[in-house]
Amino acid sequence: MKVQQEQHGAVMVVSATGRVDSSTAKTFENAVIGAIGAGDCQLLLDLGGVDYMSSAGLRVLLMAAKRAKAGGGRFVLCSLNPRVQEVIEIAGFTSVLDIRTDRAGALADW
Amino acid sequence: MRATEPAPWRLAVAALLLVLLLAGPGVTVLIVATERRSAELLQQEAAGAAETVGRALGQQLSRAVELGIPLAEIPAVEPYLEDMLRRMPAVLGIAIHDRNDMLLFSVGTITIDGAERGSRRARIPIRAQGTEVGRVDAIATASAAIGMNRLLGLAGLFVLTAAVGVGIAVGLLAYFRLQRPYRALLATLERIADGAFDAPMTPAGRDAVARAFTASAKLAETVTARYRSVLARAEAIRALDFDGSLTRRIEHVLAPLNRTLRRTATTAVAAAPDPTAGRGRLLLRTRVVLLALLAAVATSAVLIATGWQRERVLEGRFAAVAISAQDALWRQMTEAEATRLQNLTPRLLYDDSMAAAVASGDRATIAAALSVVAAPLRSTGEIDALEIVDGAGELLYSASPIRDPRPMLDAGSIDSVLRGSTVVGLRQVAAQRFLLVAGFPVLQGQRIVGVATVGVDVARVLADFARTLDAPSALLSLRGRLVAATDPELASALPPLPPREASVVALQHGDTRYSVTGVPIRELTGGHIGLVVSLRDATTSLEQIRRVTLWSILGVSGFLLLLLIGLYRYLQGAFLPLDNAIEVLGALARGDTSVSLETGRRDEIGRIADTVGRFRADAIALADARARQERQRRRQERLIRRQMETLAAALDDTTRDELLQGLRTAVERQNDDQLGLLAGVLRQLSTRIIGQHRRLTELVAELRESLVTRTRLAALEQELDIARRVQSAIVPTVFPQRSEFEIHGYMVPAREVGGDFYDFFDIDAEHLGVVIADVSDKGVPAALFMAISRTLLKATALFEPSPSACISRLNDLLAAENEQMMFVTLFYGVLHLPSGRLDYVNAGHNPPYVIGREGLSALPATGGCAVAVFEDRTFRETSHILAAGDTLFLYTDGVSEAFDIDGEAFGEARLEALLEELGELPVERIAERVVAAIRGFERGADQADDITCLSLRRSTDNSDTGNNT
Repeated sequence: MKVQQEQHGAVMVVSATGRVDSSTAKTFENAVIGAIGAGDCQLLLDLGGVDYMSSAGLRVLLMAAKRAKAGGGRFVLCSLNPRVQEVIEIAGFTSVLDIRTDRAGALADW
Repeated sequence: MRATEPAPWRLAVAALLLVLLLAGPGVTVLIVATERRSAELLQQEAAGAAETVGRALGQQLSRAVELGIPLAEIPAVEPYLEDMLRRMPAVLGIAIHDRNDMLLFSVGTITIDGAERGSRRARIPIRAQGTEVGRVDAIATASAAIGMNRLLGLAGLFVLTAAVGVGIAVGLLAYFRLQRPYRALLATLERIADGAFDAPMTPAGRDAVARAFTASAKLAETVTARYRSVLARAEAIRALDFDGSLTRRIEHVLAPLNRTLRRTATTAVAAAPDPTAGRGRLLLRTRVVLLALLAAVATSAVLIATGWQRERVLEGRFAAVAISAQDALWRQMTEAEATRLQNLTPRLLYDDSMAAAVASGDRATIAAALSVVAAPLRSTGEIDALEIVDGAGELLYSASPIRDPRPMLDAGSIDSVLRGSTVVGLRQVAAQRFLLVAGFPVLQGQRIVGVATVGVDVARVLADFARTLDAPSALLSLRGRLVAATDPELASALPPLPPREASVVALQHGDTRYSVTGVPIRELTGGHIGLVVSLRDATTSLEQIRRVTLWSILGVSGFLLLLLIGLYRYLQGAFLPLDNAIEVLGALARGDTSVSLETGRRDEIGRIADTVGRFRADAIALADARARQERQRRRQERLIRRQMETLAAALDDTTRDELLQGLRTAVERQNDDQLGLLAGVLRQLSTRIIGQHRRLTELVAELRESLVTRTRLAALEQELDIARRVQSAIVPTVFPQRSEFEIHGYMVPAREVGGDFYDFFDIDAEHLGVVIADVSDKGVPAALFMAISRTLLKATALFEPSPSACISRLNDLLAAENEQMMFVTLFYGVLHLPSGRLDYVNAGHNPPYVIGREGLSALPATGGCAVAVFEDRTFRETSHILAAGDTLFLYTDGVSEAFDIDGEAFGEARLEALLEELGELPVERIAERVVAAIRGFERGADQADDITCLSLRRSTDNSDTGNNT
């Protein structure tokens, strides 16, 4: 599991690759929550490289979304793997997470 | 010269100078002696000349006085004397005194002044009838020869000076050429003796002496090397002596022992042959002596050559004087005799009848007349032959002792007599007969009518000559035959002489040495007829010369020999300390310190000896130190070895064996450099120990780390254990035996416990609550959250019959204070047992399957999201009628998302295919089969999540039973 950060204008883009399961969730959490900070952020999380995400990963996504919402920032996901997309859908989180198909579109709509 | 300059060269040059300077006076003495001798000889000769002249004159004058002519009145004496002076250049002057010492006649210089050192006066008395009537003083000189002699002496001195100069130059050359290596050697020795070990090597010379010096310097170098090696070893030992106490203790213990061991130590050193012994060492001394000898021989040779030349010149002068004197005397004698013959004329031609007879050619008359006159003359020996020739040259009378003689006068002489002159001269009348003849005219009035010739045997003149000269004389023909001799026996021993020129030779006859002087004599006509030879007894003078020469040569030779021997001895003495020093150096180089060097000298040689002595003392001290340190070293080696063995014992077996082997090898080698070997082993040992220590440190670090890890692991294990126990305690494991339904739950927790749970409970008599849930994440938090969720759900469900209301309530309760955003997906259904109607809420969970007669179907989702995420969520519920015999299969994602080793998920498709076959199985076997399938699928991959299944089947005949319950 690897996490990279890059700045696109005002938007901080965090790209994650690998599996997000209970053993790697802590790394993922530290990276994403660290990027969120107090919540007043403009964060785009690119999950194009993540081929599996367990409930531990979902918890991190929920935390990030909640923090961003509370801090007045914005937290967007993009480029989801179908399986990850399915997990999120099953868990019923599509209504609470802002999900876009690709990074370019997400940045264009920002 | 400075005081620091080496002595042998000063000595050599000084010796050479000494030879030359001593030879100088010797040679000067020789020259003076020669000069004196030559002056003596010349003066002797001058005296001889003077005497010859004086005697010749004296005899004539005596005769004249005897004839009655007073000495003062003898006519034409002065012109005669002048003529004699002219003919004899050696004669300076002649004076005649009467008996009263009154000067009668004098020509030339008659006094001897200082300028004429070589002059000699001869005083000859004039006697008549036994009484002295006067005397003749003749003064002769040899000044010209003496001048030449001086010139030669100067030349000799010049040559001597040149030889001295050359000698000095050669000496200086040798000095400058040899002093550099010599100084280098001295400097090297002194530096070494002062303890400096970087003494540079002297440059190698081509010369044998320089090579000898270089060899000495090499010796010194070798000694230095030994010195240095001993010191280095001592240093090594000192460096190895860890605290110094060992050295002190050993020194203290060994000090008395060393003194007794010294002799053994020094004699134990093997004696190596001295590579430089006897080569080039004596050359130095020999060279100096040879040089001196050469100079002496060269000087002597030059002097001898000069002396020989001087002798030649002297002899030439001597001969010239002798010859001129003899020649003059001979002429004098012959002329005197001729005069006597002329004076006979009146007696022969006493009257005119004789002249007439000659004129008429009357031989009988002439013979008669002459026989009367001539007979007495012939009988007294006053004449030996008489001849009368007429005006036509016809022989008229001849009286001769020999038969058929040649005419006494030749035609030319007869003619000149006929013209009126008188002829006097020698005439060879036979092979061995010479006559002194005088021809004079026979006068008849004023007319010359013939020639009368009288002759006297030359032996008579010779006798007078010999008497006058006081030396045996002889007359030789041109062919060398003896014509006349005063001492025929002696004359027969004459060596062959050149017949036509004057010569002087020496003759040894018996015990007497003669100086033979031959002067050619001429005939009347002018041609050579022979030699008049005088043999003067020169035994005394020649012997004297010989003696002087011999003693001169012997003296000079002896002097030179003594000088050379002395020089050689002196140099030998001077070089002895140097030789000894070199020997001592050689011995020291071989390690033999038992040699010693004694010299009381204060010069450079003495300094060398002192230096070598100091050097030797140092070498002995070094040898002592070396022996002492050697013993210390051996002890320390043993100590070190023991320590190392102890140290090696601490190592592992292989290494220890290796090191002990190394130590044994070091001991067995018996090498001088045991320390070096030990150092090698020690290095090996320390390398091993360091390696071992490092490995040990690493191990300790690892151990410490693993201890920490183990503690943490234990904590984790404990945590997991707690979680597992919580989970196991919560999940029901006892399943009721009911007629309306069969139920069976099964959970396989993962190694790290997840948050799955299932539950079922009776809400009332007809309603059965069924739940399966999956809490997000794993571990203790998840387990606790699971426990809370289950308790809350169960509590809520009992008073909230509607599943949606129940879940909404549960959601609100859980979402509050949920900072960690834990959430739980769950399926909650309430089964109405009599009708089989299932009201359910699916909050983000995997849809359960219903296995019925028509096949397999998934229960549609209710659109709810996971519980505990957001407050104030409303959850919809929906219904499904379970037919009798339908089986509801609930599961968590641990089933569908079990991964094989390639990372592939088990997936819903495989699950569905499996479940379709399991509709008839007893519920308790369904989970068993599912888990078995998953295990088969995983192919050994780790179980990532809890696997949880709950199977609920509505019994086929449940209406009565259910109602009854």
